[in-house]
Amino acid sequence: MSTIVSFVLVLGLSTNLFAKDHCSLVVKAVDSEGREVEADVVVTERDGRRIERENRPGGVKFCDLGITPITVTVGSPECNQVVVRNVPLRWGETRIVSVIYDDRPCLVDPPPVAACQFLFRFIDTQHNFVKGVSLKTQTPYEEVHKADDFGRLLMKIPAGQQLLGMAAANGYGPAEVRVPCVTNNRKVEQYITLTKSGR
Amino acid sequence: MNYYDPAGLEACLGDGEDQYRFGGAGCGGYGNGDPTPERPKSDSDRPSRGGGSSLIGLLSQSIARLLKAMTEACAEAIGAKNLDDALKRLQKINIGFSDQGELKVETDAHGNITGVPPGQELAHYFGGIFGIGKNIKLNNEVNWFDPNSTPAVDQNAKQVTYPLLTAEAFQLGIPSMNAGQFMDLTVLHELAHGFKKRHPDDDSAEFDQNIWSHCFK
Repeated sequence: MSTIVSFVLVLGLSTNLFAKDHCSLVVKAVDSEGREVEADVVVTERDGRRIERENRPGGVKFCDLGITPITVTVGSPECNQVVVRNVPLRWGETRIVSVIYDDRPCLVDPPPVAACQFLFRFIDTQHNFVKGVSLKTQTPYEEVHKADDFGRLLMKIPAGQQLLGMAAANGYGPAEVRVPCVTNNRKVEQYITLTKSGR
Repeated sequence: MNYYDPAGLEACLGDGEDQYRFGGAGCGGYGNGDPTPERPKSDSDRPSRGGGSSLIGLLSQSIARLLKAMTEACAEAIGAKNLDDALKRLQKINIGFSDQGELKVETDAHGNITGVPPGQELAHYFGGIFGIGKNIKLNNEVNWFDPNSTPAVDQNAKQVTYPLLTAEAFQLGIPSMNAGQFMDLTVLHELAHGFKKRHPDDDSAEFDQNIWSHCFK
């Protein structure tokens, strides 16, 4: 399953060249439908100074910044975090940055599963995907599985079992595949390199 | 609803050491209660006195354990500023049940559960609007009294038993866990979302492992 992370950077400038106490930056975090969302907003200045605030209705202000570009980070690093680098700042102007931050997928709590997902990506020695690969497994069950046209095969096997099999494709030598389904292997993505056969 | 110290709760907080650990089995209500407990469809089922055999009673016991056993390390692991912050949030946040639908599973040709389709939820945290209306809902389709006997339906519409304790223990990398620990972990997981902790939508194992190692050991 793929998650599409999108963000829109809207730069606005509110100019008041004569204001002595202008605020440097306002960051607004909104969801994909434009609603303001609860999120941590971090501004990092070039010298490493880090300011962390919570988004609030109307956006969160960072007033005491300089004129060198800064980095704006919205959301948790574990999921769909949005980073906007090199946001330019100008003296006497308030920069407004709007970021689309969608954390709804990060709040979905599926029930646990006692099984593993292994995604095998069959490639040649030049790292190109190989078509027409089949994987004949011995364990957990004797079966034959076919990879897709892009050389990928997703296998799901129960906890405690071991996937053991031999991958083969026309023009390539066989390659052994062996992965046990243990906690640390719950989700594995593995390249399997197939070497062209002699003739 | 504030579950902090509901009526009769002290009765299930004994002096044994187990009581000071999340998921301690000394607090009556699950495991030795009514084998066919009432499963409310909403929060309208109020907590029973003494934390009896209702689902809300089970939740009350879980929250009492969490309040009792919370530590600085656990508070930090769920994203709270400190112990006080975690305790206050646990006391204030609305926690209840909702029907999030019968669990659907994917089975292999041999009947093993090997996945769940998108949209299946054990529980859900709702952030409200800028902090107003925050709440946690546990899925009342889960058999919280005996999670290993949770009913589910597979891709062929066949009824199956979903062993949730076994599955959670596998994800945590531990030999086993009990029903109380499972509910405690679920509440802490949702509470962590309230402190802006997030995880990818199809994998919360590392998230739970972090909570487990800081709060249950």
